[in-house]
Amino acid sequence: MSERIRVLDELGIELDRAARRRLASRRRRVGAPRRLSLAAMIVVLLVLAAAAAAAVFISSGSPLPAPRAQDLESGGIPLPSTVHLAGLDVADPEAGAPRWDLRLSRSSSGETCTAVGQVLDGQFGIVGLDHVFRVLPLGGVDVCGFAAPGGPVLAGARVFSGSSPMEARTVVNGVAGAGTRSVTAYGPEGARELPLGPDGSFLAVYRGYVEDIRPRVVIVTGRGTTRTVSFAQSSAFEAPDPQGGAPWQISGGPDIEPGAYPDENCVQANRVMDHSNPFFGDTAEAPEICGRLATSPLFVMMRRFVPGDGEGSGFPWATTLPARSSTEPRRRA
Amino acid sequence: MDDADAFSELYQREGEAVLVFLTRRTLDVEVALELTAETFAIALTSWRKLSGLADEQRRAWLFTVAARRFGRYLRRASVERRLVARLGIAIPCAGADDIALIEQRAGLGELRTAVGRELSLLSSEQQRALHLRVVEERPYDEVAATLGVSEQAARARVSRGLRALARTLEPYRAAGEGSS
Repeated sequence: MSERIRVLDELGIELDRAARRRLASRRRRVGAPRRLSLAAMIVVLLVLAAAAAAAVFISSGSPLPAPRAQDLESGGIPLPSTVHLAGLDVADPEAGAPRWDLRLSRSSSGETCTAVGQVLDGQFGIVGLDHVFRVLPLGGVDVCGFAAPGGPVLAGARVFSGSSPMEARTVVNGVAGAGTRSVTAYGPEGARELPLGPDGSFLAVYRGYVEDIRPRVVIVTGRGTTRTVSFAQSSAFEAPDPQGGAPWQISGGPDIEPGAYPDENCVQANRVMDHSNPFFGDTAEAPEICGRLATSPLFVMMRRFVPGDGEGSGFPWATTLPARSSTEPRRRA
Repeated sequence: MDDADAFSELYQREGEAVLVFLTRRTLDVEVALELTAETFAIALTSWRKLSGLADEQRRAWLFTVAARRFGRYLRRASVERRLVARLGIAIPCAGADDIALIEQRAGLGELRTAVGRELSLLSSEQQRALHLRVVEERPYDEVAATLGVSEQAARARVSRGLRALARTLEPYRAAGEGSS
């Protein structure tokens, strides 16, 4: 009997664990509805409707503790007398969930500070993964900053994890400064002009993780200048997917296969990692296209992918994927 | 047998073959181990499709994915671990005994000798270009600046050098994989 490779066995244990986590949850997700009787489905729908209408599943817990004073810089502690809600009152993508707001304050050193949270029964807090609402401490802030000439005071994207990707939230927020004319947020569903609160404060809530949404905000200042702030943008060449979600990226390099010409280059499109697609690995890698840049400074391939296509090609287009057309260009630098 | 059992059985059956396949291409056990983990992570996330295939088709699919991961590794000079990270898979560290055993099963000693021999037959310009790009992992614009040539010429030197090495290694790879 040949000697066992220990590290391979250890990797096998890790993969086995991951398989049990993933495939068991998939079985529950895929199989459960099929076993429901009509009566059971009606009961489930009634329960879901009640939950959506009244958010009865959210209970209240103990307030979150304030940070220890010695952990804070003296200049970064918000003055209690300056703390107030912006009153933005932004709905969560999930009907019935507490609405979102921004808490503004000023620190002893004159910085503007913000904290993102939700409002329930007049209190400012956050709903945890356990569906318990907890009040955020008065001294708790996400970020503080000074006003910059001609630009926003603060702009950021806070991500709140969820037990599934669709439960995660990305909250784009900031303080654009007094006199700001408009703030427009761009996300998967397109442009959204945001209502402005005190000092040009703004907030937009998206379902999912920031790297899937890749939001940006365009701020038009009081003087008419435009500032764009992008979050989780990649330097790779990317194109948005027509149905939103993860964008597509393109990568290229010299062809190193045996028999390739020295000037032969290849390019390939694939979908950027997508938290919202639980079967990401099924997808979404187009076949490489190659061309000789010395003889042809630009080559372009247009392809149409149809669900279920390409069996046996090494790049089957899964039946779970929608049809897509792609254009993959490469040109001499 | 449920899906998780079937996936684990696939790993038990093909894991070593994939690791040897990648070790013979990367000449580096630790890199090959990471690529193997990513290959099986992709298989796991694609299980809905794979579960409907016959054993031989699954094997072909697995090695196609492994080859593409290797190609991507060569182009980017780094291992992608996106799905490994997403699935929470911790890649174990290979000890000295494991590395020796895997190198032995992959016949790496013979391959390294062949690589060294073929490398010495390349022009000094190609050797230098390969060293800068592959060993030092420098971007092409830096390779070009160091060599005093255009970026396209630097890419061509690296490409030609790698192709020459690949041609030399192909019989060794084929012999090693034919027996697995």
